[in-house]
Amino acid sequence: MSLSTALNIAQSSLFNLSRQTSVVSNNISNAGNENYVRRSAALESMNPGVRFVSVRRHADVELFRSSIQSSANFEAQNTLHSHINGLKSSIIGANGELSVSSHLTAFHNALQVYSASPSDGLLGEAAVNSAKDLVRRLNDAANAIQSTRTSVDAEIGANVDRLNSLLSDFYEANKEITKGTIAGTDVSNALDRRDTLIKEISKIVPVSTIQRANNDLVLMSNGATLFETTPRDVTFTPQTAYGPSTVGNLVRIDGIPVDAGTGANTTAKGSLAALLQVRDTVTVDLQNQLDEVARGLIDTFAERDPSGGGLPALAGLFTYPGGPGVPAAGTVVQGLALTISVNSLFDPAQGGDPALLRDGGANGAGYIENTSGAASFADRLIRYNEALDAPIAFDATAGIGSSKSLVAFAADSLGWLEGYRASANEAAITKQALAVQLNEALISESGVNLDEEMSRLLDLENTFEASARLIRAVDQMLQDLLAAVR
Amino acid sequence: MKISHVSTLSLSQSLRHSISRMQSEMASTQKMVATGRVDDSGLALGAGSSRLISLRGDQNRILAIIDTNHMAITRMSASQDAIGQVIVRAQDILESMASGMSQNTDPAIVVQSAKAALGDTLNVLNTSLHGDFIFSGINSDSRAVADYETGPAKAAFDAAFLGFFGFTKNDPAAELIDEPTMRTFLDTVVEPLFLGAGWNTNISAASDEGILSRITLSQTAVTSVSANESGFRKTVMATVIVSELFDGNLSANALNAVADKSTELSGEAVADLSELQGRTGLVEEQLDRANSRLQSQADLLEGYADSLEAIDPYEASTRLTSLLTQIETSYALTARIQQLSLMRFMV
Repeated sequence: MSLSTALNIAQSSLFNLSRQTSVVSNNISNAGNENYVRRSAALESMNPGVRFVSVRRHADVELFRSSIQSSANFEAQNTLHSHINGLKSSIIGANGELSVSSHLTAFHNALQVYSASPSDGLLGEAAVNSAKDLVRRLNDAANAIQSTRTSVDAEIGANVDRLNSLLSDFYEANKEITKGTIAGTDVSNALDRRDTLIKEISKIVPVSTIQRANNDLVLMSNGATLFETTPRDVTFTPQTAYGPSTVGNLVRIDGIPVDAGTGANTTAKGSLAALLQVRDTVTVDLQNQLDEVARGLIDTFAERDPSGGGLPALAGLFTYPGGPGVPAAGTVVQGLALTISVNSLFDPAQGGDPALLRDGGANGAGYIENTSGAASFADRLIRYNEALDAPIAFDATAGIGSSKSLVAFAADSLGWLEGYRASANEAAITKQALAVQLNEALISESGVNLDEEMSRLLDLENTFEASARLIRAVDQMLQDLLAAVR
Repeated sequence: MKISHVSTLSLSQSLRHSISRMQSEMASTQKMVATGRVDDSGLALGAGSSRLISLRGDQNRILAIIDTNHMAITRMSASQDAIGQVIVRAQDILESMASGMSQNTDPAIVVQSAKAALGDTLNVLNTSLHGDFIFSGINSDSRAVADYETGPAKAAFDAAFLGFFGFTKNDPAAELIDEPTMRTFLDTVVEPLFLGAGWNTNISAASDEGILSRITLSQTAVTSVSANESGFRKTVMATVIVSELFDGNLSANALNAVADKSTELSGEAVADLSELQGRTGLVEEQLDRANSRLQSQADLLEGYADSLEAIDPYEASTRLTSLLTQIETSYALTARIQQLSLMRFMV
């Protein structure tokens, strides 16, 4: 072994030190970046001395996969939960003050008070006004549901656009990685970026990855190909506005439609499936329930032939554009809650007479029950009052039973949404806990520990000092040798 | 090599997460302590929220029925009172007939007291409450009975007299009417005018049908008394025949028949009205019972609804205290851990 070899080794050590220092400083500067995976410089001993080989990236593939899965689950649940919360506050209100159920109770009470003093026209007016409040509430709730559907549809559109742009970013990152891997350069930064993109994509749709040669990745989502060498098209056409009968368009990934999630503890993974669930099932069920309440009101307050003769039942206090015929029993009429109104013949604000409620006859003389015009005729009002508590047939597709009273149906509709919200909330808490825990584990495993980097820096300083001393020693020895020769 | 690795970021992040979780929990616990109810009843009850809103709705309806029952109770006690006054009038007639016949009182005085009794009776029958005539049945917007003197009833009586006897009661010929003829006239001609169809054509606008009220969630009751009740008709007829016929040119024998009939009628009227008072009392009692039942039902519902939402205040406040301690510890820990860095020891 010659002195020049020793010098070379020391030199190469210095060179490696600078590379190692740069890795350490890179780690330190990214200590606060949760998408950064810590690196270490892997050294390989060679003769003579030490040669710098490569930068090792401490990625934990298994943990990463479970983390993105749990975050897809949480994202879906959270999306569902926040939309259910929104629906609750616009349809029920914080303490039920906006609910159709509480407005129905108020109307019921107004009827009771009117039935106790049928001769008091003001009480009749109060009952009709209360009916108008109820109808307005039904209209507003139905409108709120449709505007929720419209905004969810727009959100789906925004998600699809974002997904497409993420995929095209993914294409760039993936290309850089495969090229770099083939060329043998350090692709750690590009790998970080690609992993970050996968995290983002999995918040929208569930992602599974297939690793191919040269670090090339294929992205799949529930059997549909998201990315394979090039990004696949995710297509969707938003609707500009929603009505009760509007059917939203499908989201397709590479031609395969994305399925909506089901259940309050949703099966959806990723926000897209949860949004589809809100748009196509939750709001549609709610709308059906409101429509059934509206149909129940029209039916209960319809005018029937008081003599039991052959006159058909015709819409009374509550009517709708399809009136005066009464909608078929036990079948939901789409959009009825949106179009139900108080018959202007009863409405004093439109020149109508609330006493028609007491006497009947809005549809002609054949329907007058109080033929003598007696002022304190209460039979009809009492019958209406009791009809609100009597079971009637509802469409089972509304999801809350088929035979119950209108009052109970309206209360159950509220209970249905609250139950859905409570389960969605509980599931969101569980899924969030898992997602947070896994994310923490991932960050903990692949993140930077500053103390470790500092101690590594100390090591490097010492090595540097030793190498420098070695060079000085060799230099001294060479000088001594040369002096001896001189 | 190291066995496990922990990054600096995860250390600080987990602390942040737990602090924010505890803080949000504290906000809701604080609200629970302040209100004594769950923070968000929808989340706490879930699908059971329908029970809560049903209970509250039922409670509201029951309270509304209690209110409306109070109106019916007022109407019934006003009716009760009025019936009592009519009974007194009928008894007055009985008395004045008895004394009038025995002591040969001046017929003019008898007529005057009969007229006063008639006016009082009709007046009482037209009692109104909040603008409703309480004895009109369901026709509560019209006066129960018309005035006798100015209404069609007097004309009908005079016409009946003329039709039966062929002359008016002031005609000199009227003196010749004997007791049995007068009795026949009263039984066959005058009686239908008051106890028969004539009552509704000439005097009463009331309907036989009483006001129906829903007195509990499932029960209805008739909560008014009609002016068409037989007791009222008999009282009116007893006073009318006296005030009309004692006024005329009739013989003592004929007047005897009138007095007999009047005594008979007012006696029956007192009995009928007492029975009516009893019936009214029964309805009043029914309303009272319904109300106390409804009130206890409403209290029960209130209790149920409250218990659905209620929380244990002691548990909530101890939870709040322990949360406070936890958060404080967490703050102290965060500060300590943030200081824990190799940097501080490297100079």
